[in-house]
Amino acid sequence: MTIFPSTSIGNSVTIEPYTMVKNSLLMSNCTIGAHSYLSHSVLGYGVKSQSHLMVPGSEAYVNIADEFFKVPHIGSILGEDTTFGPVWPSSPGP
Amino acid sequence: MKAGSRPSALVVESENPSKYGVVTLDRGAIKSVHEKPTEMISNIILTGMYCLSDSIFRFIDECIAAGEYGLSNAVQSSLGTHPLTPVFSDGLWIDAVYPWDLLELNAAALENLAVRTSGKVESQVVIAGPVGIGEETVIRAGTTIYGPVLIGTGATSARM
Repeated sequence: MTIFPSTSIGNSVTIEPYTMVKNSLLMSNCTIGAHSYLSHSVLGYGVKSQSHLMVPGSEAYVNIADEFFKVPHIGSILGEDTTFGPVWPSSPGP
Repeated sequence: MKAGSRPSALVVESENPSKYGVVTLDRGAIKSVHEKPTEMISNIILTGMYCLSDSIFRFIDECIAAGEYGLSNAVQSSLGTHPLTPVFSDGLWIDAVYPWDLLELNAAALENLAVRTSGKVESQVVIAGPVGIGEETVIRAGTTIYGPVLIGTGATSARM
């Protein structure tokens, strides 16, 4: 497992082998499966993923209430208790 | 800003003032407040931190009765009779409006991270830079951490 700078990890978080986390905020009780990659992401309380969650960060256009925002570098914003099965590629943006 | 001091508002300079409550100044006092102005008025914005007297509640009630619910509206209404002193922030101020703002806030908060290792770090772990590890956290062999990184209590990196 490799954790890169500007990452905060909450309490009781498990990160499984061969996973990389970069510039991200993981709230408490999250579990990130093996062989995953997370960049520029915010994971809410209790997010659970199985292996191979792929969240690369990049530029994205985000629509909130019909207003578009250009975000220079974002992975995913995942709400609390979100659960992923294995092999889940994610496009940038909330 | 301290309780009991004269009414004041914490302000900062902003590159994007149109997203906030913008103030104009006159002889060391806040002259006016403009919420999310469409035209450039000033680059000084309210941070949302105030030290106000209890007279503000009368203006809040009046604003609510008029269907205006922003605190800045009440502050603007009070300026004619209750001077408000601007206090410029000498620290870092980052607004959190959108979810991705949390990433910038997190990175900024970690810049002054104090190294604190309370958990268990197994052998064959590489830690570079400032890393805070909470109590009962276990960092398993084969893990590499490049700070600044903050890890809470009871967290585990599984064995590789």
